Amino acid sequence: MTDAIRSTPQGTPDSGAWARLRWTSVPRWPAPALPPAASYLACCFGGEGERRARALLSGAEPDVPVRVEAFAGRWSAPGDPDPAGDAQAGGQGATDSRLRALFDACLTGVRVILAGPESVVMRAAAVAKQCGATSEELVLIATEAARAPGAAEPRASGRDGAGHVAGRAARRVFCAACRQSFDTFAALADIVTCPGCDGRLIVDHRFSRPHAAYFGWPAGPGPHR
Amino acid sequence: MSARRPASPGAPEARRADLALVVAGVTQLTEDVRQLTLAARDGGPLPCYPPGSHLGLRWRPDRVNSYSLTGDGHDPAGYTLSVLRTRDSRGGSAWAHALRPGDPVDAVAPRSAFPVAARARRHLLVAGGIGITPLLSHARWHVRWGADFVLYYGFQPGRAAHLAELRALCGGQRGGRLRAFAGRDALWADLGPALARQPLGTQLYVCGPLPMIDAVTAEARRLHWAESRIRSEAFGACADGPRAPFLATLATDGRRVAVSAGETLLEALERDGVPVPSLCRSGVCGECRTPVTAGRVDHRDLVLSAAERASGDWIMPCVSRAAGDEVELSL
Repeated sequence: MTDAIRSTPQGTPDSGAWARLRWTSVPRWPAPALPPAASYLACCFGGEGERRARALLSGAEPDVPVRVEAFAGRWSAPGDPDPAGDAQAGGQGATDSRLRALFDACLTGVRVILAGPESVVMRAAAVAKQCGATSEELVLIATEAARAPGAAEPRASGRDGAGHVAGRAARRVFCAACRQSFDTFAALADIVTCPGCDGRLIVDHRFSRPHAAYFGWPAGPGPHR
Repeated sequence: MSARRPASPGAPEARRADLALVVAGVTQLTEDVRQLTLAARDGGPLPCYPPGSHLGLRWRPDRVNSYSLTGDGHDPAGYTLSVLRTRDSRGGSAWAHALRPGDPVDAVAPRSAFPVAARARRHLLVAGGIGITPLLSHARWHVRWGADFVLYYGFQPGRAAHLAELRALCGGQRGGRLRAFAGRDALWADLGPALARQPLGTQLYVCGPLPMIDAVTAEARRLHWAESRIRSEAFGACADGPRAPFLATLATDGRRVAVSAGETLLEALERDGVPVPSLCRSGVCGECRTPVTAGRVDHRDLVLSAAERASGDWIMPCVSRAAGDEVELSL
């Protein structure tokens, strides 16, 4: 397995060997369905995320309250130099604290829609679960996956047809050496460099939902400590 | 001709030894409810248990009745449980009500089937009648650890076991964590609206008579509570139904066990020498859960979830039967 991964050239579609595994923790993205709810909260990261969320919500029962919150298309931390993005998203500051305030105001019976790039949506889902949401109460939409019918270059693959985000994409990686997570742009099995410890890491097909990151393990001789 | 099948881990020969206990105290709480305190017969420590656990008292060599432990389970000096005197046909509660201090009791070590949800942010406990016992254990645990909880307790007038104790534990009736009501209508008037306004992350726990559990959980589902946020424990036997004879085939060696209308699948298997672990023998504890490899099941237990029932992968032989003529078990 190790040799198979190391021999995969960078930048090419994933070798696919892991895609034939029966069990894998790589997020998969079947077409989302809107479950019945007492109320809906949609947190939309970026314009495409909002478009997809609103399309899904068009199927809601008329008397069910719906709340749509727009966020920037990327995760923002306090002090992030992205005032334009923050302003576009309502100028509310750090993504984490804004999400927590929204979730803390939710009641049971809510279904939370999180729509945007996979790496951002999975981070938001992790925050939602810390605030008490269960998987059943979340509807996740990754804008890179499963394009609308008729779109060019479908990105879906995998045994059950519920696609994963293939190829090079924004991914969050957890560094096994220094235990920090960072954002990068890579395909699975690519080799990336950890900004925290300069280590060379292989982006593995194991995804941690609490960390909302792919597992990055040391790729061999390199300057990591 | 097959070699004697080795006993499964829960079979009588392989079962761990019972706890040797002694009745340390008896208190009549209400006309129908008696509290027992049990200590280790050798004076030693007792195993800890998660809140909501039950203790199986072996009141006959082949019969175990389980009762919820009312303590919080943390380093218990004794096991306290409250037994409702019922007119059950097998006499277990009558035996429990006849116990006196000093009487020896053999018990199956505490088992956890109704635990606290570890990642819930708030706990909504709903107890009806004697169903207060496991939720008293939960409430003690939450008070110990400072968790956010509220306890709804509905009871018949004059039959509120543990009420004074709960008032002291939960900090008073108004504004405290205890909402106690005499009668079902009064309980519903408060609980109904409360179910609709709990914060995200609240776990619901219901224990009491079956119709009450059904009504509360149905209302929670109607309000779109997530299924995993609804937890309940049923006491006593589930309703039986018509019994037709059927055939049970054992997948390991193809042996066929005929189950007549007058016996349960569990009884038929035991009669034919097939060891199946069992405990409550009434469809509430899950001990006899057996994998099914073929045939449809008529589920009559109170353990399997809707998804588990639909999968057809499991059966509780103590109460459930084949839906058709035949069922194949992984035994």
